[in-house]
Amino acid sequence: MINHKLAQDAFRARAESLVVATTGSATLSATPAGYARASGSFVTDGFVKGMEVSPTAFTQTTPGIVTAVAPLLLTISGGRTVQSSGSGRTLSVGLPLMRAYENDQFVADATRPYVTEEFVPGGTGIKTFPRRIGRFQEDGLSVWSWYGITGVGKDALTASVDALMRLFTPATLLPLSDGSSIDIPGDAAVYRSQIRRIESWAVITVQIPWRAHTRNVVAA
Amino acid sequence: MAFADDLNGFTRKVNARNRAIFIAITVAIYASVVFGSAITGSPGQPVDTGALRASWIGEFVSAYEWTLTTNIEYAPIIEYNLRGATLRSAVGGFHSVSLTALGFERIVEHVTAQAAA
Repeated sequence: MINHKLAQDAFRARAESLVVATTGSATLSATPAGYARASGSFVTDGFVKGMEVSPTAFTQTTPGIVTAVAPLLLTISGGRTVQSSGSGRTLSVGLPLMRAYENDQFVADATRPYVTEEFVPGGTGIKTFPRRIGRFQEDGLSVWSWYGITGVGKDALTASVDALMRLFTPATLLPLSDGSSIDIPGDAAVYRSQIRRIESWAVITVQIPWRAHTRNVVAA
Repeated sequence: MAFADDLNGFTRKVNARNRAIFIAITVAIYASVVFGSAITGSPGQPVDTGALRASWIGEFVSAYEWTLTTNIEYAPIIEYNLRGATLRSAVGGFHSVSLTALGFERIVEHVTAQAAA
């Protein structure tokens, strides 16, 4: 039987590695309106309205919500603390920093996107003989609901969820620290819902089927 | 004409068995979504007033086509556990449809094994 704690940790770790959009290490400045650059393009880097941007190597470290994107200017809700241009800085969008993980305390912030996560075990069964030491197969779902800001269009949510789905394509293998692994199957692959309006949020749910095979062990 | 008769008889037998297996699969799917299933791990529908559980309708569209639907507006909220609902039902849970779809091959294996037994 798979170690469900390790399996859920593995899904979380992979999701937390998500990069939706990034400048990479670049020369950037902070302006009253947001962030600016002299070269490169925020548009090409994949930033869109509604995304939550995390800054690195800036004095102001709080994430900000993108309200407009131009090649050389990224407008942030509420503006930014001014900081002159400097190299080695990064702006990136990944898994929302607000994360309602299972059984954790969580309070949503209406101005910031967040995700919920569920680990849903499914059917199990022995696949080979003899049963005592046979191959034990388990199926299940890792379910992520991405709660985005309403009224900002589809692009932020769609681009973010598509990037998350690409982390869990069929044949992706999640190794666990006990030597076993989780496989993302091909006969029932990762899929997403349409954008739903739930209360004051725009929500997309991603369902990631998983499958695991272990050697059956009969307890003494 | 004995061989032709035998062949026709065999064909009827195979068709009848296929039909029986198909019906048994639909029954297993319905049970998995609505009541829960050890085959798929689906928890089934939670029960408060019973409206959601009773709303699921299975219908044969043709000889080998069957649909399962609900007209309850909040069914997707239960299915996808949107709003992080707190269950007040002693039975059922979330993601029953998804787990049933994921476990479809298990259902087919189980039903065909029973038919062969």
